[in-house]
Amino acid sequence: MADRNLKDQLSELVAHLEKTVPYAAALHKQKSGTRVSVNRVQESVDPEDPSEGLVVTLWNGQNFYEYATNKWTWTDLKSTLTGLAKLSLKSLDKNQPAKPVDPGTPLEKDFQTAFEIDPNARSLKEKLDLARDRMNKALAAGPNVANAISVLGDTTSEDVFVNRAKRMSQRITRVDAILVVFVADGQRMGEVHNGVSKNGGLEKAVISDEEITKMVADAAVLAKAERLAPGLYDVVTDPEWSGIIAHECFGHGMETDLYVRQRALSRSYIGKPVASSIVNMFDDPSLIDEAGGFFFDDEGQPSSRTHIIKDGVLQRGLTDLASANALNLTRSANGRRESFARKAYARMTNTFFDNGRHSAAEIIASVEKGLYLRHATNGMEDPQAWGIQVEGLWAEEIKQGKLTGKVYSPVIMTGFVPELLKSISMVGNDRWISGLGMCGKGHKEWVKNTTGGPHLKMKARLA
Amino acid sequence: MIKKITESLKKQNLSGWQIRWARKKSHQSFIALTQLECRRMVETEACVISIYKKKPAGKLGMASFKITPANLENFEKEFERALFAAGLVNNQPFELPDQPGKLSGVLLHEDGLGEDTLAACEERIRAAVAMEKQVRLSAAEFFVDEIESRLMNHKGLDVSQMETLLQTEFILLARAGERENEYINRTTRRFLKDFDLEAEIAQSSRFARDATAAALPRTGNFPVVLSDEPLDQLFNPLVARASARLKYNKMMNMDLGGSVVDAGPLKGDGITLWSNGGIDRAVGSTRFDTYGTPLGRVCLIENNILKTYLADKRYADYLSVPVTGELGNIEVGEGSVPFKSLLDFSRGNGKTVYHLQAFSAFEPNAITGAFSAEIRAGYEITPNGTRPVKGGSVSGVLQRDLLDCRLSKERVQRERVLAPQGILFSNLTIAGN
Repeated sequence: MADRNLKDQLSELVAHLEKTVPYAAALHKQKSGTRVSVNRVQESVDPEDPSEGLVVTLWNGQNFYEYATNKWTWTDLKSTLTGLAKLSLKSLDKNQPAKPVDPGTPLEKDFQTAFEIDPNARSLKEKLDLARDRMNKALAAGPNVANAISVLGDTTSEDVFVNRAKRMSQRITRVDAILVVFVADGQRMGEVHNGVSKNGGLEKAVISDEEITKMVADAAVLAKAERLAPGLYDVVTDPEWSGIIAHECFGHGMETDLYVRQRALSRSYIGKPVASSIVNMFDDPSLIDEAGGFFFDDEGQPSSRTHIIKDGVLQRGLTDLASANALNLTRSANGRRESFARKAYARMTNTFFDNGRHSAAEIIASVEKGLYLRHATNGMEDPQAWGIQVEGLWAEEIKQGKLTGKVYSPVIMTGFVPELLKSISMVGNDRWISGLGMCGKGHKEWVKNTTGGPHLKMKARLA
Repeated sequence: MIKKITESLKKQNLSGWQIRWARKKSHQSFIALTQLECRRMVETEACVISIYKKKPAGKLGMASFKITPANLENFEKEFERALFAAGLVNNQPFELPDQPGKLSGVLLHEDGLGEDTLAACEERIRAAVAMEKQVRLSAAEFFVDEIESRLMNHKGLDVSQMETLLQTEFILLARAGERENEYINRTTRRFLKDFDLEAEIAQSSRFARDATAAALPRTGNFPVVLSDEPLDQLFNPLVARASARLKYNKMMNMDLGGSVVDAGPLKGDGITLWSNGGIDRAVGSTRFDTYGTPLGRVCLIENNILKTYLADKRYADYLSVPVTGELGNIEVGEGSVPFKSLLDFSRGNGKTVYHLQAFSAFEPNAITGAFSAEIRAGYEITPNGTRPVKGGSVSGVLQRDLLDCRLSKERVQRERVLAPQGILFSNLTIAGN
């Protein structure tokens, strides 16, 4: 676990800085791991984007100041930060009130994720062989497989957070198994990716043979697929697609740093219905087995579950320290950084629609004429105007409650968020969470998070 | 740090090595509404070391690792780990380049940018927004970065450069009655004289104001002019078709002399496209690429025909084609039609034209060329007038739709793209009302 000496030095630094400013905190972040990637013509075994650095946060009563670095001596650091603390006081507006920052409930604890198979206990050769085996299965799964990329990664993140109330560390191990298959049809290419990303050990980095076969079959279909005629359709979304809707509709829109900037319409809808009454939605970093899970956020807030939509009614937002402090909101553990070098923002973690009571088969059987959406790829939010965009690869025709095998690709869903969510008429009982995605704040500040949900039935504008 | 690493690598029994070193200093500020929320300074330094080892049967083992000042003491351990990893993988061999001749003097760095630049930018944006009616500032972020980099390899290559980057992301809110809409602007430039915050605020304010009166577009197939933001990503599928890396990895099956668009009669302008790393002050410019190859201007596609693969040293060796270096800026040749006449297209034939300038996320699939994106800022132009549109989507397939397009004769320099100011596609799918 965390080096006690590091905690002591950070505590001493924080105490020293709080002689000048009302609040100081320090976060040391370290990430290491291995990424094995193979395809039919290339192989690589490289470190998984290693980084190590320190960020120190100062609050002068009105503004935050931060210094981040990956090269320091304690003497130089103390000197630099003392200067920054004094400088920060010069920017105080004497006409505005100063405000304290709550350092939170005192806590001294070290946390660690559990695993059955320690990635560090497996040799690089074993990992390489596992990735090669998966690639070879994909290449053999169909006649026109042009290539298959098989990735096996493991990452260990170690964070130490110290303020005057807290001295905490967490060690989180995550594994990624990703497969991308390319199937050719003349000059056209069908591409499907799938896999798993979970906190824990290598026992979770599994893609079954059945899944590989299905991916290759799907890619072959996509290589021939035609575009969909635009229109309003009855649709059934699979859990992956449902998850991206959750993320884009009231995930980003509930990040309270947007409230401070007055660019989230949702703030005026707290306590009001925004979705069908059968819809429930959560953000939950305390689901520690999921890739967006952690024990405390990058600002020292212990993780807990946030009920975002309860029975169709909007409940509360996701906070970082700055926005919670500015708006006098109770903290949630959503202050996250891309790395030590980047600012903390209010960010989602594991965000998902909760289960309902129908099976996927019942939902599809209920559709007279519509489309079944799978293989979602990405989405984009519009928190102020409540627009939403979700893109994906697969829209399969449903006729009289049955899938016909006729597939359109690619497909885009657009719409007005409340209209979309209020159209949800059936919620599945098969919630599943995908950890493959990364989330940006706009188009930068990438952090790992997960999205999920059960099958959903709704009306949506597609093209 | 570099000296110690270099000396250590020279003692090892390797067939090759490369060191990529970078030191970055970044000043950052974050404004919420009009108030300073946070000011930051970031200093980082890191080396990425790649090692190469010849293996039996002519294969090449290779691996990389990263060393920072914080883990310099772990160099030996990280090296041994990488050496072991290199022994496991089997790749086709390639040669690292020798020291190049004279590097280009492309302008990448402006002296004197730093913390004072931040304060000046904050004042400029407040003043520019104050000039706009109906519009207020929601948020603004500024990054002023200075990056020093150096690349060395075992063959004596040793090249370096200094660059600066000025970045902003700002969000404007425009209100009309109960309705308020936002517009997000992201701009990156290398030099202060190109960082025209006032012009960006003026255009973004217009988009934000117009969004308050915007309606969904109509559904159907229409002529569409793309300009501004979508130009940044529009040509990526064409670059992918020229990619030696994708060709070698069997993800793209293009031969030299082949057409980058679908078979069929060409009804409009053909595309001529260069990779150009030598445009002064452009964000996509660089003196050398990942392997140290100097970047200049090379024609990849001429009148829709693939002329040259875009090949760094590794993939050039693999495919036995000339080394072009990695992608610099994407430069696309101009057409013959004034931009304004593209927008006036509807007047001559009575058709509706959509002029689309910003999307939620416009990212054509590099492999298939298919694109679909939600409209954030655009206009419906008919013989009876123009109205703003927002929401709904535009869809197409680049390789198919380029068979019938017109390029404007005016070109614009964006961050990494020098391209015609507007492109008229005669038949894209719009999904709206």
